[in-house]
Amino acid sequence: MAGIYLHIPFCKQACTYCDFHFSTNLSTQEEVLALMREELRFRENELAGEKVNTIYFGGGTPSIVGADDIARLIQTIADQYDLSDKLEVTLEANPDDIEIVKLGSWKTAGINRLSIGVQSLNDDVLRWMNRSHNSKQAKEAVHLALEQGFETSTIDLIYGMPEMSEQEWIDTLKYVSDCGINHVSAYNLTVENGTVLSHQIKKGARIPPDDHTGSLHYGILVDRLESNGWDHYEVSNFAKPGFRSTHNSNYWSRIPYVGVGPGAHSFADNIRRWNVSSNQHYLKKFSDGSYFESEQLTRTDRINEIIMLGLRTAIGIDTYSLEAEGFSIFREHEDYLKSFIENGMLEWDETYLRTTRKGMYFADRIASDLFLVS
Amino acid sequence: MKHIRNFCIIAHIDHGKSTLADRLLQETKTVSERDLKEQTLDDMDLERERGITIKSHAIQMNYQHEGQEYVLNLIDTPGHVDFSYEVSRSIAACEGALLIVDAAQGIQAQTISNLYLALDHDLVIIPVLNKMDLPGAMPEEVKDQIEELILCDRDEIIPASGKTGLGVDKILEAIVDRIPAPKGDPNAPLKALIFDSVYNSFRGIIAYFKVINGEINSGDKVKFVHTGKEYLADEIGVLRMKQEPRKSISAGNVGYIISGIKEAKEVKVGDTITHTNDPTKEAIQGFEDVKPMVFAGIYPVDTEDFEDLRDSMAKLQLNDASLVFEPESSMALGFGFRCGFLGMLHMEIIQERLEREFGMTVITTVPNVSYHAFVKGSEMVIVNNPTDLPEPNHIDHVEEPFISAQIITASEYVGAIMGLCMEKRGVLKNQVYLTTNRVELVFEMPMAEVVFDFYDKLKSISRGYASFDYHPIEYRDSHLVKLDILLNGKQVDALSAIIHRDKAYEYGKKICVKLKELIPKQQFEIAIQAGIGSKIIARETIKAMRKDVTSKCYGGDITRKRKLLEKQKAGKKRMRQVGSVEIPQSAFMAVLKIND
Repeated sequence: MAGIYLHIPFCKQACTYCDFHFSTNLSTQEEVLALMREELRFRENELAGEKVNTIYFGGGTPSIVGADDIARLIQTIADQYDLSDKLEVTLEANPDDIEIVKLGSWKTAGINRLSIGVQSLNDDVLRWMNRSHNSKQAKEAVHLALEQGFETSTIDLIYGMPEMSEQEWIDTLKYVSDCGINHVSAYNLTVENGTVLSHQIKKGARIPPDDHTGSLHYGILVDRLESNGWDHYEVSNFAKPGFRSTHNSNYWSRIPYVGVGPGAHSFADNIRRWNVSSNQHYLKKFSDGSYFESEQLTRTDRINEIIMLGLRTAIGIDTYSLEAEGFSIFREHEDYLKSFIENGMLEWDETYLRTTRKGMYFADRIASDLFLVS
Repeated sequence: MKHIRNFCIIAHIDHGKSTLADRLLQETKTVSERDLKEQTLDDMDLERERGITIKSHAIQMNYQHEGQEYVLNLIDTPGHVDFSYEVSRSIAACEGALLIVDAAQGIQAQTISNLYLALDHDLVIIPVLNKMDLPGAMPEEVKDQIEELILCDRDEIIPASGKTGLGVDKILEAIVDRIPAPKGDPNAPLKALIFDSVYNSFRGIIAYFKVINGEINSGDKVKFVHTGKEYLADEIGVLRMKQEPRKSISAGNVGYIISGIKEAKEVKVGDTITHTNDPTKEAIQGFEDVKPMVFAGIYPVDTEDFEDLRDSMAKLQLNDASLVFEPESSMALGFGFRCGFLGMLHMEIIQERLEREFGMTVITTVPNVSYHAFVKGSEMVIVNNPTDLPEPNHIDHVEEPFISAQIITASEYVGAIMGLCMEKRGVLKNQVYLTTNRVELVFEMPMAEVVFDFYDKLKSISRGYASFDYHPIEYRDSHLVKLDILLNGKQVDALSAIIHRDKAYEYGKKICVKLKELIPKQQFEIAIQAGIGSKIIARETIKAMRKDVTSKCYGGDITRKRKLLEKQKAGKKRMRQVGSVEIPQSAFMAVLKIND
């Protein structure tokens, strides 16, 4: 199996918290999209005949480019790559871009899943985040997408804002649980360097998010969704039974993927590579092949990736894949694992070593404890 | 011998000693204009940066006066109270001293105590009023101070400026005219005073000496009286800008000896050199085996570097015999060394030299003094590490070192300084007005109270207008207790401290608060407690961390995130663990920042 990621690096406006690569200069759109098709063709051999089971349009804001552009990109993939019969094709969409005509064209183009950037149902929050929609639009967009047959869609939420009360968060989750959507990704607000938000916090214009609120909201999130029958299958991802995201899951199982477009990452053959995070540089450097950097993973890197990613998921660390690297995690960390299994942070079923509900709160810390150092 | 003059310079830090010394070297053409780096005499980088002399130095000049050539030996002395024994030995090698006083700042405590040392040794004092070029110079007022202090004639005071060269010629004339030639018997058995030693990686230890009686020749068999060791004088010579070998050095003169000595501790400042065959009957008076005053643990940051640290300390000791150390182990810090230093400055210097010259990063525990614990029905135990204090029920009493502290300040700060010293358990012993506005205060106080948090406070309450000097007096009985720090019930040995009982509560509270700031949250709650014996006197709690996982980890995040966690792991490796609690290095120095 394999995946394809397409980074659409354009936005109408900048969200204050976002540190993904995007540009609000839309004039190069056509050129960049044409070059992405070129990149797809150029890299067709990288997946070595693996069947592609997921295509993902991320951004930026993929919903602001024309549906015909999306169709052309999907067509290019279909022409060059071997597609699986069971194919997930996701497009990230802002609620204010979701309308009935567009939904029809996306469906025609081959999109079968939307990732709707709801973020919050608090209009004040949406305003300071500089989102281009309000909560009413968000709910309407979700409703419309479901109605038009995008029932595998997902919504994105952000929590941990100091001004969001517990009750507000509970109400948001109640809406999510009842609205008919089958997948949610929810993220703690983090302040990334270089964002408008970090600048505002430095100036004292905004209260920084605190650990206490973050973990409080996270606890509510996990409790509410799990008790409503959601499958908490990764730190920040929840699905109704049968609705896990193929694309996201591929990342955590270290399945290869080709990422095209400015700032996109790829993984295949033990190499992680990333395209330059600048539309201009992407356009300029593509022809001489200097538009990306890469890193060959060492054995230690691979082992640490398996540990780090495995601990984030409900599946857990596949200890056989560690054995295949000649690494016995039980031999290496016997006492540590014993005590963590005893105190209910980890569990072990002869094949998989995974964090418990309690342990998942500390997945990073446990991962770094279990890391191999070279 | 009658054309030799041996002199030292007494000055407070920053009063311009080194600059003026450089002028003398220039004027006598000992050093060419081109070779004159600023402050030629201070050759350690550290000395130049800090503007103080750590080691003694000596240099010989030739000076023509009234048709006669004179040999002038300048013996430079360390400028810090930590090294007062070395100062006393340098003074003992001289017949005269230049007393350099900053015309803008006046006389300071350090100057006075060294001046008294010089007067004790019957040195002729030549008062010099330096920095006359400064706009803030107040020559008449400072002349009053000098006059009163050394009972000299006002016109004996030489106005000078190291910067402009003013008075340099007058100083040289005064050295020849006023300082007597050394008295000694060139025909008596050899008797030479070692006043310093330096380490040279090719030639071993080089000892500096002044010949009191007799004559030393290259190739002589010599004996160091106090260590009892015998050597062959491979090379002797005089100290000019370079070492210049000579065949012989006779009574009154100053020189160096190289005799294949590998370790600094074989050359003790104050020791007497004599001939093996025809030894002097009595050694030179005033020899002391210098004892460390301040102790602290030094541990490698990475426990695997213990052997490297041992090698580095051993190399440091080769050229700094006043550093003592012995291996010790701590539950919290692993294997390291309990080190003894002459004082806090000496401790800082050692720490910096370990880092600069040997690339070692170390954890230094909070310094303490040496205590005498008297165990019931048994003998006295010397306690250089708080954890070695016997159990309270076994102790009859504990004694701690007291010092006599001399502080000179402007009269408006007297109240604040008295308050500070009393808070530090000091007792005022004397108060003298040196001039209408300058006061000398003498306190007796426990050495432990000045080890940390004293100099800085003194400076800030006096806005820098207080100078401080001390000397140890005696051990006295004090009501001392051992305060332990516990993390989740487990004692952190490296944080134990011996402290006066009346201060234990406040101190315990403060250190718990400080540790709360310095120890990162962990998955469980951490109780920080301070206790005396089994009694808990203070407590703080670090709440459990509720979550340690980042939200997003997709295709583009994996590499960055893995590297971040690897870095965290490396950082954690540098932390120390007590029970299940991880402690960062900074926590071990928490006490030093207790009032921040």
